[in-house]
Amino acid sequence: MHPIVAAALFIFCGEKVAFDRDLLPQFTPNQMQNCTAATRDGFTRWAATAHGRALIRRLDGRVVITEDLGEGGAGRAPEPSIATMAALGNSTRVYTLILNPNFVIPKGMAVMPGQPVTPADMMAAAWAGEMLHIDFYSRGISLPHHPRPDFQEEWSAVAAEIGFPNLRHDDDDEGGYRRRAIIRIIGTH
Amino acid sequence: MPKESAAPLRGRLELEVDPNPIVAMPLGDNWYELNFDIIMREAGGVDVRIEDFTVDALAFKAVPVHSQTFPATFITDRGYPSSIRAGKYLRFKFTRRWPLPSELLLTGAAARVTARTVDANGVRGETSVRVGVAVGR
Repeated sequence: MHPIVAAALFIFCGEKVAFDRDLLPQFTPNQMQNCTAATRDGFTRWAATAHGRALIRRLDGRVVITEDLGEGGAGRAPEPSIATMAALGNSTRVYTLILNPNFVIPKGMAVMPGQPVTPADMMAAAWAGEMLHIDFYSRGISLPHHPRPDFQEEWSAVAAEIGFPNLRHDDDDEGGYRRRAIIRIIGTH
Repeated sequence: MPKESAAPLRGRLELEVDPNPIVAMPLGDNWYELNFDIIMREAGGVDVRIEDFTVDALAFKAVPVHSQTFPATFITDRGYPSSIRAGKYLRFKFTRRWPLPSELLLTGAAARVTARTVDANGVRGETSVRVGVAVGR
């Protein structure tokens, strides 16, 4: 029997994710049935990277993953109140990860080299990028992260590991985008 | 005790796009006209010269599916200088007709403008801005 080496607790489809001895996620029948294959594949691909393994082993707290096909991008990790989390201690830290596996390359359009092509590719990139934000939150570092050289260095390393060395994660709108209220129009007459 | 030294000033460009989000006007058959202003503002305190700039169409706000790089002559051919004095700004119109499938526009289409510069001291820089794309009527 091997020791439990995962520190982070991932809640996916309402259930805790178990990890094998290589720290790869082992999904339950409910997670296989009710959560999107692209999100699961992306999780597995990110978890297989050096950064993913290290973060799963080290991150104290709970990561609650939600799939939302209405998201405007592939994913986001809203900034928690870092001061409140610090006061609560490690065991009650909760991070939210919202992913949209509905990625599709429009017909007739070609993706540039080194960029995601499939929904699973996009989810691997979203897991890598958003978990990097959560990593920084866990270290007490508030947004903005994108202008930080250490964030870009780590992003470049993990992006190359998942196979997208040319994918950027540096846009300057992270603060406004992450904090703005979302209004959805659900009907008109 | 280490001596203090003054950090050298560097030319630094800030980019803006107006309107934000960009409005894509439908022309039919998935073709759209994008018409917006690019504003390049020097904010570092040293003159900069624009070498070139790239406009990317992004799917899902992240993945480039169309990219076009324009030399500085794109700006000078329109009667504007390609150099920006310290603290000043340059604003010019950008109009292009691009095919943009509706799937792209419905799933978080965005545009990214990236400008590459050299400042008066020969220091190179790169700045980008990403804006959403909305469909006009």
